[in-house]
Amino acid sequence: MTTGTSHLQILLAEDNAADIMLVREALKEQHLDCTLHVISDGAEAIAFLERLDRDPKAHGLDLLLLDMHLPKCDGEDILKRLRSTELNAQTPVIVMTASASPRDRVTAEKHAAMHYFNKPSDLSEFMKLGLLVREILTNKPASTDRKRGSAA
Amino acid sequence: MNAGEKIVAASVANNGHPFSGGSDFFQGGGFLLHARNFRILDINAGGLRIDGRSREEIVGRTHWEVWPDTEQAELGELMKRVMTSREAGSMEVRYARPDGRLGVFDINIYPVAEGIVVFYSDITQRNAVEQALAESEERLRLATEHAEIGFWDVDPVNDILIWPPRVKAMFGISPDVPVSMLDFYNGLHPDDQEKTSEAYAGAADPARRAIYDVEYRTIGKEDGRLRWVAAKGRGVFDDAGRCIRVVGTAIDITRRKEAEQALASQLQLTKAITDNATSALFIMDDKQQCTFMNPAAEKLTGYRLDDVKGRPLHDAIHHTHPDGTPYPRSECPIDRALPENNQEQGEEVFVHKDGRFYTVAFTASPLREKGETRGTVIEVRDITREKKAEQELRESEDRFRTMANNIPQLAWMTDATGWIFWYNRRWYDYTGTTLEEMQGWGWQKVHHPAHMQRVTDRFKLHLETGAEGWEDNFPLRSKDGEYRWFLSRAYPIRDDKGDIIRWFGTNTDITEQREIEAELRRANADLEQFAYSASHDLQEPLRSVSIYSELLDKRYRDRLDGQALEFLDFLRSGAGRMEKLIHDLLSYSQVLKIEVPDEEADAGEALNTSLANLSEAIATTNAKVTSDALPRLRVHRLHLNQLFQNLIGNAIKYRRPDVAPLVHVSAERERDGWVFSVSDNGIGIDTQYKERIFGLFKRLHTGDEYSGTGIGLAICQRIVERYHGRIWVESPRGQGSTFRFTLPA
Repeated sequence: MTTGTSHLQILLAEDNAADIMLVREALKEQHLDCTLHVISDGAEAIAFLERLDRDPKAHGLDLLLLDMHLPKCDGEDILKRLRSTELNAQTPVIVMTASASPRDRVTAEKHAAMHYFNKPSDLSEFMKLGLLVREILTNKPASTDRKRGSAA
Repeated sequence: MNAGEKIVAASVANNGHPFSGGSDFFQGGGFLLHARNFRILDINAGGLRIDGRSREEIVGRTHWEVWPDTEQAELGELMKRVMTSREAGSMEVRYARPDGRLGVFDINIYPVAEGIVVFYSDITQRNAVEQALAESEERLRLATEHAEIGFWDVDPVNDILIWPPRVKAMFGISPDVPVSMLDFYNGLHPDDQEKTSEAYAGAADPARRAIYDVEYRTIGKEDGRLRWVAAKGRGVFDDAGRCIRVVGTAIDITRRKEAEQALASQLQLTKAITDNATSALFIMDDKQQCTFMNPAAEKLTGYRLDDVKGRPLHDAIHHTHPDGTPYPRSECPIDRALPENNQEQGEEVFVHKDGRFYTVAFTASPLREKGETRGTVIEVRDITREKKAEQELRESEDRFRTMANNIPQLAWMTDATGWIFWYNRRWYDYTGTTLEEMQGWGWQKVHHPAHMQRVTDRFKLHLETGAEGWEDNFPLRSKDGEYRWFLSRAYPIRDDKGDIIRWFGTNTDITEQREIEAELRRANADLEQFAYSASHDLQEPLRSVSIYSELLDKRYRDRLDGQALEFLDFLRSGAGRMEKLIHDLLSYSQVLKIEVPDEEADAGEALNTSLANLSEAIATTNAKVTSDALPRLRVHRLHLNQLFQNLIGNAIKYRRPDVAPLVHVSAERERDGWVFSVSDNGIGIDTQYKERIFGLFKRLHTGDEYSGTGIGLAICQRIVERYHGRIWVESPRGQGSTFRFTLPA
C-alpha cells in the first residue's frame, strides 16, 4: 500500500447526475489521484460495501461521499451498514445534502459522519468540496485495510 | 234602719237581693270565695241561707252563672275591679224588700290569693248590739277560717280593743300580749298616723258615720318590721246615736304590696316586650274574644282592640276564605287550641280591615293559669312577602330549569362537596341514564375508563383548593355506547358569606372541534412535510439549474451571442427567485415548530441581529433605522428576529424613489403585553389592501418594481398569531406606513 494521495479509493453514493459531475469537477480541481466509484442506488451501495468486506484482497475505502437521499435505501441505512463492516468501519464520510433541514445533520452525526457538506447553489461554493476532500485525505491516519498491521 | 231608708236609691236591683232573688233574708253575713275566673270556691252557711239554693248549685260555677244579672251591674264591675286591681273595695247595694221597704246590703270585697272574697250582710236591720255582736262572732270565725283576714272590734265606751292573734301579728305583737287602742295608734307608721286616725275618728263619729277604709303601714312593736295593712270597718250606733262599737277587718297586704310592685314592673316589662314585638300578639278569652292586641297586631289587622271586642276574633279578621267563601269558626285551627287544650301551628289567610287578604304563620297556645285553661295566646307573623319570595324563587327555578334543559350543553349542579344532585334533561337524553344512577359520583359510570381516575382526581383536588373555575376535557359515553368528547367547565356559587354552596357545571360537546383541530394539526404536519420536501426536492434541481447556468456562463461566455447571454441571465435570476421563495416558504412552515420559550428574549438584541442581516440593504439605500428601548419578553429570539427583519426589510424595500428610507422601531406597554411599531417613510399601502397583504403569496407589485416572494408578512402574521397577538398596518395617505403587532409580556 502506498500512502499519500495516489490510488485513493473514494465511493460516491449519489443519484443526481448533475451533482456527480460537479463532484468530479471539484475533485479534478484539486488534482487528487483517486479512483471514484459512483453508485446511484442505496441498495447497490450497501451491496458494494458488503462485496468489499467479503473480498479478502480488497482494500478499505479512503472516503465515502454520501448523499443522504438515495433511492431504495437512504443514507442512514448505508451509514449503519458501513459502520458495521470490518473493512470500512473507520472510513471517513462526507455527508452531502441539499436540504436546509437539520434533520440530516443529526442523522449523520449519530453515525459518526464527522463531515457535512450542504450542497450550495453557487458554483464556487460547490467547488470547495474538493478542498474538504483533500483536507480529510491528507490528515487521515494510516490507511485502513486488513493488512495494515503487517504492512506497517 | 232609718238613715239608709232616707237615701233615694239611684239604682235598685230588680230582684232586691244582690245575688239571688232576695226572697229570703239572712240574719248572719254572707261570704263567697271566688277564683280568679270568678268561679265560686266556697260559700258560707249565711250565704246559702240568703240565696236559698244548695251549696252544690253554687260552688264550682262562676258568679255570673249563679247570679247572671250581677255581671253587668255595679256589683259585677266592682268585683272585676278588685280582681284585677288587687285593691279592696266596698259598696252598698240597695234593693226593694218584699214588704216594700228599702233594704241595704253592705258589701266588702278583698283580694285574696285565690281571687277575691266577698262579704255581704244585710245592714237594713242592724240596729241592735246583739245583731252586731252576732255578726262580729261570725266574722271572727270567718277570719280564723281564712287566716289572712283579721277581725277587729273596738268598744269605745269601755275603751276595749279586741284583736285576734292575726291582727296582733300585723302590729308585731305576740298573740298573748294584751293590747289597747294605744297599741293601734303607736303601731302606725308616722307617715300614715294622721290619715288613719282621722279615718277611724270619722267612722266612730255619730255625725259622720263614715266607712272606715284605709291602707296603712305599721312598724312592728316587737320586731320593728314594716308591714302593710288594709283595714275596713264601720261604727255601730245605738238608737241614741251613740257609737257603741267600731268593727272591721284587717288584712296583712305586705306580700300583696310587694307582689304589686313586682307585678307592676313585670307588667311594664311585658308591655315593653309586646309593644316592641314584631310578631303580632293576641290574647283571646274563653269566648274566643280578643282581650289583648299588641301594636304589631293592630298594625297587621288594621283594627284596634276596641274594634274587635265583643265578638269572636275570628269573625273580625278571619271570616272569609280568599276565594270569597265564608270561613266558619268551627273549622278554624286557631280557635281549636283552647277547647282541645293543644298548641296549634300553621299558615292561614287573614282578612285585613281594608278587605285584602294576607298570609300569616300562626302559633295558637292555650293560656293556662293554675291548671285552668283561660284563653288563647296567638302569635302571628305576616308571611305574605315570604310567600311571594317563595313563589318568585319557584318561578325563577322554573325559568332556570327551562333554560338549563334547553341549552345545547349538558349541565349539572353539585353541593359544596362535589356531590351532584341535579342534571339537565340533555344529560339524560345523551347518556340514557336516570338521576338515581347518576347522582353523587354516579357520573363516573359514563366516563371512559381510561380517563375516569384522572378526571375524578382533578375535580376533587379542585374542590379542596376551592379555586374559582374548573375546566377539563374528557369523553362521555352516549346511550348508544359511542364516546364523544366534552369540554367541561364548572363555576362555584357562593352564599352571602362567600362560602361555596354549589358548583354549576356544563359540558360542551367538542368532538367536532377536536376533529377539526386534529385535521388542522394534520394539515400543519403536511405543510411541514411539504416544506421539508420542498427544501430538498425542489431545491435540488433548482440548484443544478443555478450552478449549470453559472458554469455555462463561465465556460462558454465567449462562444455565446448577446441574446443567448440575455437568456442565460433570465435563467439565472429565475432560479435565484425560486430559491428565495423556497427558503421563505420553509421559514413560514417552521414558525409553529418553535415552542414558546420559558425564558425571555431581548427584543433590542433581536433587532440588532436583524439590522446586521440587513446591513447590505441598509448600506446601499442609505437607510436610517432608529429605535426606542425595547423590552424583554417571552417570545423566541428567532421569531423576533424574523419579525424585525421582514418588517424593516419591507420598509427599506418599499421606499420612495430617491428618498432615503427612515425606519423607527418602538414598543409600548399595554394591558397584558406589548405593542410594537415599525414606521417608515415609504410608499405606504392603499387602504383596500390592508388586510390582503398578510396573505400567503399576496403581492401588490410586480417583481420588476419591487422584488419579493409574498411570504414575509404571512410569516410575520403567523409568528404573532403563534403568541395569540395580532398584526395590522396603518398607512395614512402620503405618510408611509406603520406596522404594529402585539406580543405577550
